[in-house]
Amino acid sequence: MVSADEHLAQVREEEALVAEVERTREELRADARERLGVTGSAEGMPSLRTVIALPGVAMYPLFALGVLSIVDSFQAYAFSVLTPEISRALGVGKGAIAGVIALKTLAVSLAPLPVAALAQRRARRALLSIISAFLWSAVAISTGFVTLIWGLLLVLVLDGFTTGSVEVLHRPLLMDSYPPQGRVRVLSAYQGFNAFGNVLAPLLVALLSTQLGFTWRGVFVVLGLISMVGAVLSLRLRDPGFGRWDTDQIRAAVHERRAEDDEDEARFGTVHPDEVALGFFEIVRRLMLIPTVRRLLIGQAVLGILLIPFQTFLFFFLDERWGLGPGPRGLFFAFLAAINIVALVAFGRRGESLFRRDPGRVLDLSAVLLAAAVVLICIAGLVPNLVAVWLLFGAASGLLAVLTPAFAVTVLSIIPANMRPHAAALLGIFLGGVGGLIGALFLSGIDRRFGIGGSMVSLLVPGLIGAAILRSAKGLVQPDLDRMIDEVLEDEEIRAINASGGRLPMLACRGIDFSYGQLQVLFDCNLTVDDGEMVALLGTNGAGKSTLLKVISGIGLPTAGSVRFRGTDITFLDAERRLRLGITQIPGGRAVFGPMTVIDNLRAFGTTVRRDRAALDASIDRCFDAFPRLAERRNQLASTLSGGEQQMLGLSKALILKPRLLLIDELSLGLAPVIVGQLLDMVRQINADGTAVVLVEQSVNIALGLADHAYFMEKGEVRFDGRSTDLLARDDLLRAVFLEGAGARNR
Amino acid sequence: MRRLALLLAVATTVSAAGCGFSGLAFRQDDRLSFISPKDRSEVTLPLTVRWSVEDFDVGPGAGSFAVFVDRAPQPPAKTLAWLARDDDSCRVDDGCPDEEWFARRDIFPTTDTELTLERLPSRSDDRREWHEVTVVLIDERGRRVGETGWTLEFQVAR
Repeated sequence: MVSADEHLAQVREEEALVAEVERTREELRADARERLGVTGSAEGMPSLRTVIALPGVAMYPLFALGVLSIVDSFQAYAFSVLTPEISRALGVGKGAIAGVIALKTLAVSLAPLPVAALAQRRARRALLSIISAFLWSAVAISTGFVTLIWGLLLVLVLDGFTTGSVEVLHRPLLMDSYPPQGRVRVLSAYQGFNAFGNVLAPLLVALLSTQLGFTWRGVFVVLGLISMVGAVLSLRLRDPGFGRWDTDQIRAAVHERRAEDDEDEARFGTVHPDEVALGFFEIVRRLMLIPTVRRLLIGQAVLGILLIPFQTFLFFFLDERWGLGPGPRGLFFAFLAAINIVALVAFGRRGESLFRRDPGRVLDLSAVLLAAAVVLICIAGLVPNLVAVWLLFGAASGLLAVLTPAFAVTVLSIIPANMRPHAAALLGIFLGGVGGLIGALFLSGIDRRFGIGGSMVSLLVPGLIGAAILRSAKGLVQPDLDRMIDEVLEDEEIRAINASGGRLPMLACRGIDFSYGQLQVLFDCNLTVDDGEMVALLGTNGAGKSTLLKVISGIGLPTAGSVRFRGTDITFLDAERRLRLGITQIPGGRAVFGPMTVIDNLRAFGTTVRRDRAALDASIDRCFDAFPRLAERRNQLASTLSGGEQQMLGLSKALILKPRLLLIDELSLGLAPVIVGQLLDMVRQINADGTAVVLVEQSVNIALGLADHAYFMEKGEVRFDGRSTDLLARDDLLRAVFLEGAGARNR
Repeated sequence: MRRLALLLAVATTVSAAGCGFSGLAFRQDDRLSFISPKDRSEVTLPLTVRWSVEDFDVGPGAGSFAVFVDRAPQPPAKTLAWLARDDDSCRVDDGCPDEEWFARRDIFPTTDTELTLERLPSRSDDRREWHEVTVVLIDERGRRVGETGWTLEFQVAR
């Protein structure tokens, strides 16, 4: 027996150990934040020149991508200006042209998705950027040779696909090419290149068409050739790989602290990295679970209402209200673009300084700038003086210009590097696809009712809502950044354990939070299962036991925390892929396909892992040996089986799939003791054959009779983790189950 | 990646088929210029549009003009009859399309260098509305010459 003093000393020792681990982790986190450019202070901020002079950093990626950003707007601008000439030359009506433009817009919206998928496994963003640049240059040249409407359709859709990919390639590439200490300025500079393209494109089109006498065909060919030169200039672009200045830096910090050099050590235990590399939709789902990303996507949609149709309606406003023709309008937009360049230069250093202090403050500033911009637009829609209109729109445009780099640096800094193309794609889709569409309908309606001036004033509504959303996201950024850091740190801890030959549990859930919509039902849950272990998960009704099983099996995704299988992070892996790793869940209730026969159910279980027919038949025979009653009812519909027989059928899934980890939810619920006994014998047999089992049970006797290790959950939290015999001594916990059980019986 | 490359190759080939390499105009054609009204001016109805032309013979057995109000002309090398291709009620046996058919659609074939417009298609409920007139050259066989369409924009106060 352990004495009270010894027990107290043991507890204190454990507490000291936990405090030490926490302190080390906090120090690592602080170090990581600093390496990610968030130092908490604006002091000591290096100049951009200093950042670019660092080893492995060069001006070239910014220059090359900036040049591509300039030339990628040529085709789009030329087409928008020269549409009437194209329509007349080809003899096609405005309706057909409008249809072609709609399809091109669709291509621009959809392009980011496949391009993000192409760039997710291998870092080939530079290659894709170069290829797309050559493609859109060729497309611009070939536009000059189009003679038929469907030829025009194809070149424009191709242009949409190639230029649409810029969103997902360029900024993520810049994020990985430059250290965090200079990223706000780099992204602002890149945006400045883009603004310069908006000045250059109208000037070039005007020069080529009015001074040099080119038709629209000539203009496209010349612009395409200039674009081709830009593409050639980008040929030396190389992809620096994912997370060179982020996750790699955090890992380096951990290694420096531990003075380790274990690069070649096994990192993923027995699970191959390819088995757990997230697919496209898994990444998208994961991103949508990050609070800042979710909030900013809503913000993007609201901003899209303002920003996307704004330029078009500004065209109409200048035309109808002030009678400005194409020439003066082109000059006006070139003026706005020039103001944008000035604003971006001014923002770069200021934004960097804010990001260093607290990345959330960049969003805070963006909110203020957005609110100010829409107020200026509103006034510009009402003032009776054209000079004032130019100045007010110029100022508003400058304020709006900084939103893009502010959004990009915030979102792209809090997510793993290989997911940045996906995040950029989502931002683009929410801005253009969702917000742009709503905005077009919204402003058209306002225009019809209140005229073009009313449209300008109405932009106040989405602008102020957008500002409020940005402001509300301010507090989410730092925790999300810390969460990303923690993920990397945890990964490194696992790696260190692996490297030192330490033993990792088969399954480890750490800090799991889970919500159904706004309702959080799991709070910081931890659960560990060793190889071949039988674990009981107990708790009152609604405690979150089944939800925790869903998180383990992948049916539900946590809002925080990690699920690791043999040390490998599988938190966001699809349920289907977890099944292939050897994790199988038998859900509570009728875990069978009711309209199918027993034999078809068994076959269906087998086909999920693509077993060959002979092996599957052998497995089915084993099921029938184990449960002879199923053999008797092999051609009967599953829905006509008794509750016990349905559970037998459900449990047969484990016999067929032979998982490494079996999750069983409420096996005994509502069944006769004899049937329960048979099922439990089978569970024991499965466990004895080497499968680890997590058994969710409301019956304390059953659970603790089977398992040596037990967890007890209450109100979404794990209240007990230890030996089953120790849980039996915890009357305070078990009383709740017994009372509930008694209440249920009395009802 | 291979599938994408294949898709792009197919798309490029198909779009190339929608392109041409002869008879394309890369430099602007200055043979025709408008005399009145001034581009983007405000006018009232009836409106007379005047233009001048160089290096292009007009008259019987020679070329002519086709004027289009607020609509696109036929493609290059097509006759005006091409515009009636989808109109089942317009039968060639009945002499359709004729001047009346064209006029109903705001298309005016002429050998004059001016055209008076008594009415204009109504485009909106606004008091002031924008319209455009496009003139193309027609050869002696009734086909559109080149790709250039000369366009004049004006604003009408109703």
